[in-house]
Amino acid sequence: MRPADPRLVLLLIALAGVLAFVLPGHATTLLTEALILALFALSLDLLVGHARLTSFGHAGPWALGAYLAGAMMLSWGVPLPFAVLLAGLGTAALAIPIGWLCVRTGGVTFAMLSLAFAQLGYAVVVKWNAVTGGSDGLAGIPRAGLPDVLAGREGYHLLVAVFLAAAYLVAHGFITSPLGRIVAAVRENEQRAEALGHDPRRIRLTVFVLSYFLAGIAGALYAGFAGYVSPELFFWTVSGHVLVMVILGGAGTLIGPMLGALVFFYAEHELSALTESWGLFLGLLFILVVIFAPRGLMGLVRRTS
Amino acid sequence: MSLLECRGLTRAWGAFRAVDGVDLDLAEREICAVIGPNGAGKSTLFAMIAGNLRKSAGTVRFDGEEVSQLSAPALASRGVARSFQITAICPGLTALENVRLGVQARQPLRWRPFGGSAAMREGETRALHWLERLSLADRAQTPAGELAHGDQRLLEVAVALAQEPRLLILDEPTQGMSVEETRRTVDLLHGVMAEAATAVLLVEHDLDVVFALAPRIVVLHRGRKIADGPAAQVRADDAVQQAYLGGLD
Amino acid sequence: MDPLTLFTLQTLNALSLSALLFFISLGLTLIFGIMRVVNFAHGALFMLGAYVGVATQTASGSFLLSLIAAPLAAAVLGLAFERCALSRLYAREHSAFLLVTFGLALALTEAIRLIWGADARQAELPDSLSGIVFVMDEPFPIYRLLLIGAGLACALLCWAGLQRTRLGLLLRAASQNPTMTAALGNDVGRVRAAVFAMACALAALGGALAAPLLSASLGLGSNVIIDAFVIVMIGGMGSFLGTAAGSLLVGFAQTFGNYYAPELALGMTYALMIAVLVVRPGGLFGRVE
Repeated sequence: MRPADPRLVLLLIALAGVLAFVLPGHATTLLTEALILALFALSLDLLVGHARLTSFGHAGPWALGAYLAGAMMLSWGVPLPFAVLLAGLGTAALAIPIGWLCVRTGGVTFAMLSLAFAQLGYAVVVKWNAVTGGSDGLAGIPRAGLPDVLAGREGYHLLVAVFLAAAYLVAHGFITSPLGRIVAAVRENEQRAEALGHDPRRIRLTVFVLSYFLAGIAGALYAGFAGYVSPELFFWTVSGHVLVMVILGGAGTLIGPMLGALVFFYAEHELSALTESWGLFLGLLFILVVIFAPRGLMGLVRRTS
Repeated sequence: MSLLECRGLTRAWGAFRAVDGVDLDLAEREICAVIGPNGAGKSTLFAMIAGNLRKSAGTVRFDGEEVSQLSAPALASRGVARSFQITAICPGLTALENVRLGVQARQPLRWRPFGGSAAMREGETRALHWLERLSLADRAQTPAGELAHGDQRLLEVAVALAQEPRLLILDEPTQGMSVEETRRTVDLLHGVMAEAATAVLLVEHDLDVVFALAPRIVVLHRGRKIADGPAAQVRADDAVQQAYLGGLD
Repeated sequence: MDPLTLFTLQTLNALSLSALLFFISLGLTLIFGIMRVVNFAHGALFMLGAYVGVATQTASGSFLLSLIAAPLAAAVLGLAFERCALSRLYAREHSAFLLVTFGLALALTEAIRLIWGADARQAELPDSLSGIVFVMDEPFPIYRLLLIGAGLACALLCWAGLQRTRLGLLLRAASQNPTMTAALGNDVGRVRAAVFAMACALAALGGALAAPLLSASLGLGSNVIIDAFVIVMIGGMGSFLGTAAGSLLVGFAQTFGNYYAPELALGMTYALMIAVLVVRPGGLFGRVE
């Protein structure tokens, strides 16, 4: 599928950012969380949609980014924007050895290897009490070094929107760049990509690292948003949820997964307010979407327009 | 100095030697066909030259450089382009994008992770040129996987040509084509091979195609080279007649 | 307790855990081998087995009956799910299965909570099974020995079934090459439905057997499925022998790890899986896809 017009997407993100000044307070808080999840889903779409590497361990970079940023702000008071960027870079650095091992394979083996690494992260933070706070996690994380305007509810929302817009531009720029097109070639036909002079493993590693970088940023923003991090962030159900967001929205479209994240998040929220058995309906909803909307929500949008 | 120098190329699977001590030299811009009955080792030989398959023994020099141990991507970036016996294109990308990726393969900007849209546009112009030369221009925006079989074979040649290779390896370019398609393909190949400044190694079953395109012919039989020379001379060779040409009658 | 006795008891513990893990992993690997589906709902089905088992026992007072009711319920549910949802998706990419089985896991967990509530429930063992025996003069629960026996019996039965029966032959053929099996005139659709139902039944049986030990709780499914994934990946997806070996490896790693190195135990199984997959991407007994 062709990527959507980036100007339209940026406009939508800007709109979501400005909404903070219109919506009542609790609705803004919800939307902030939704936008962070959108960034998380966007990062996974690079792997799943663009490189067709179905990661089942994306909780790994998300939680790692959250812990890194949380620790930096809690212990050393690193200003939030720097903490977020450094957390992203740290996650990306760790993604190089992890990715090198993971991208040698594809399909189910890749999914399970990425899952194993995320679970390994879970095991480490649970047991490494002294640094990670063990199963309690780290609480009381401040939004360090931000002027009051940005540290408040609306200000932080705006900051998240800016990060999301930047991340989208990075992702969009990457998939339409010469290197991004090579990623598409590797996805479509590895033998052809080799005959064109590209080492598939190295190309996949590039996407892997970029995807982990963005996921780390999303996690870091979440740490600043929630004010605490816990080992649950690493748990495989988180990976499952974000994968559902991507596929629900339409993998490979960048905007689809972001919308998928919003739909998922609000469906979960609204259904849980309506009925106690929201999980039942959400589960059934996924099953129906998969059967009747094979290309996700974006596929539905494209078909009707 | 030859562009390509193969010495004693051998590939063995257990006791079976698919290719057995083959020497092969190719000059710049020389066009050479490799023929032989089924199982003679033609595709295996090509796979070793292009770095797709490890060699059991023997060496390859390309443009004076020892390249025996290099991988397929490394050889490709030194100027070896190829088509495969089973078409290898990117089915989900448009025909134009397939060829543009071939153009991009030789551009210095190819690794740029962001931007580079000017280079992309320039690449498209070059790509369109090659599509036109293989009469695929009207299907530029069609996803490659939706092209007819014959067009997919031609598209793969266009991708390889777009790499502006110094050595072009074509593995049965007319495989699976009708007589009519084959004739058209031969005409098209004739034109582009004259235009591209490249040496060509060609495997082909259809001897009419071979004689139409290649002034020089190498004959493989059971992994060994049994003849090598100008087409007319190889055609008249007794051993070749027995091993191959006779076998078809 | 002398080291040898301790080692023996731990070995028996590890074997009984391996047996439980084998029940869920075998179904997972069968489903993957035949249908190329990674079934994320398998943990939820294991959990369903535990709950149905407890409920049956509460209602009827018979533990044995619970071991029949649980797999039966899961088989019926599995069959319905395969026919209604999975069977429409075989032509699609594997990400479709991921989402659809994830949806089932979510819905099933929630349905269980609706029916049985959020509290954990434990099955009561009948007197005949709740006793202890003395192993090297140390007490050891009979039930754990029984689990080892059940796991062994299940392994042998399935192995014989796969090797000796016509259905087994068909399954192995379908696992090797689905299109070819269809061309041979066998109804691949029916084979898939049967396998899925059978695999669900196996998982539920494991759940019912586990209920007296682990108790039925809502987190059971999402915890146990990870172990099952680790096992199946270590053994090689679709490989029967690999699953048996993987169950033993994980069972032993967890039991001994928890005793000798509790700090490292949790991470050990994942590290084991990573090591195996890096060295052999297809698993110990599997082929590379």
